[in-house]
Amino acid sequence: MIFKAYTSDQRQFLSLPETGMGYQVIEAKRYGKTSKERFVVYNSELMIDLDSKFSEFKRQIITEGYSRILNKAEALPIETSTISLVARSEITEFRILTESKKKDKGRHSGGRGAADNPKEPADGKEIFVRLSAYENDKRINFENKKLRPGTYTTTNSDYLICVGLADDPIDRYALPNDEEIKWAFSVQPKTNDVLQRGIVQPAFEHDGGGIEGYFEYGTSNNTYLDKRPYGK
Amino acid sequence: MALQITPTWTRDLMGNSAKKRIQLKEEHIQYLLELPESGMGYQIVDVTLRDGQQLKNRIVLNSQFLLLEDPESIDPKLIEKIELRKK
Repeated sequence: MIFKAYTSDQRQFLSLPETGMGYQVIEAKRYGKTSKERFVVYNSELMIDLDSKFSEFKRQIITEGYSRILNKAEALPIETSTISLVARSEITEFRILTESKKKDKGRHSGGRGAADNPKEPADGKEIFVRLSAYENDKRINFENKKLRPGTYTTTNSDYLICVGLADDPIDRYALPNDEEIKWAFSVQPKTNDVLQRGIVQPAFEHDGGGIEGYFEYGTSNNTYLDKRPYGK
Repeated sequence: MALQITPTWTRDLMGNSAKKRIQLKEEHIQYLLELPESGMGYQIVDVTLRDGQQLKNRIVLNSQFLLLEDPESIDPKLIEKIELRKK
């Protein structure tokens, strides 16, 4: 079932860390029940039973829209004091990359996202690629030929694997929109540029598992190389 | 909810309707361009409308397009403030 959380429970959810981007997996006891049940909580307000019908409920939210579902969901009375976060390691229902996808598509699993990893200097040779649905990608400063601060890319080698193995870039890089990736922008940072490298974490119903490079400070002038149609 | 603008729709590879989106005002685009991404090509934001209504955890693509949820329809001119949400 899909439920709305009471305000007091929402406050409790907000005090707990997220399990993943935009959601929490929690345990709590319903009033009158003796044992705890597991729920996935979205945006600290919408609760879904984490049972065999979870995928069905999730599809329902995607189909009908979050706001509509939230408006019609009934509030679920749970004992606020029993709410606790479930550790990721204990979530067996959690979606994990299948071995076949890891092997066939060259995906990685586990690890951490780029922003959670230490900074490293660019070597001046490695090429990074920014994939986009938009030819006028705004995170690229075309005038000075560089990336703007706070921009994500992937490595050229991961991009080539994605293309070469006919992988789905939207799933590999866990992108929130289903727009077709049409453009690949290449960047070769200089040795004074700094980046963080990591594995794209599952998000937006996508597995991730590609490599991401994050440039908190952007890149130097004249590091943008070229723009090509995706896969060419 | 403010009504006016007819949003464009993004479509998936099968041609099915995906999420609708609106283009933000130039001032908001320029503001978001100064802020970091949440992932490749997108930012997660909270939006405040002029009437005080808040839209939380929303996605902006290319620092330019705000994705809407069905059946929302928002006039970009009525967006008062956009704040980046920390990952």
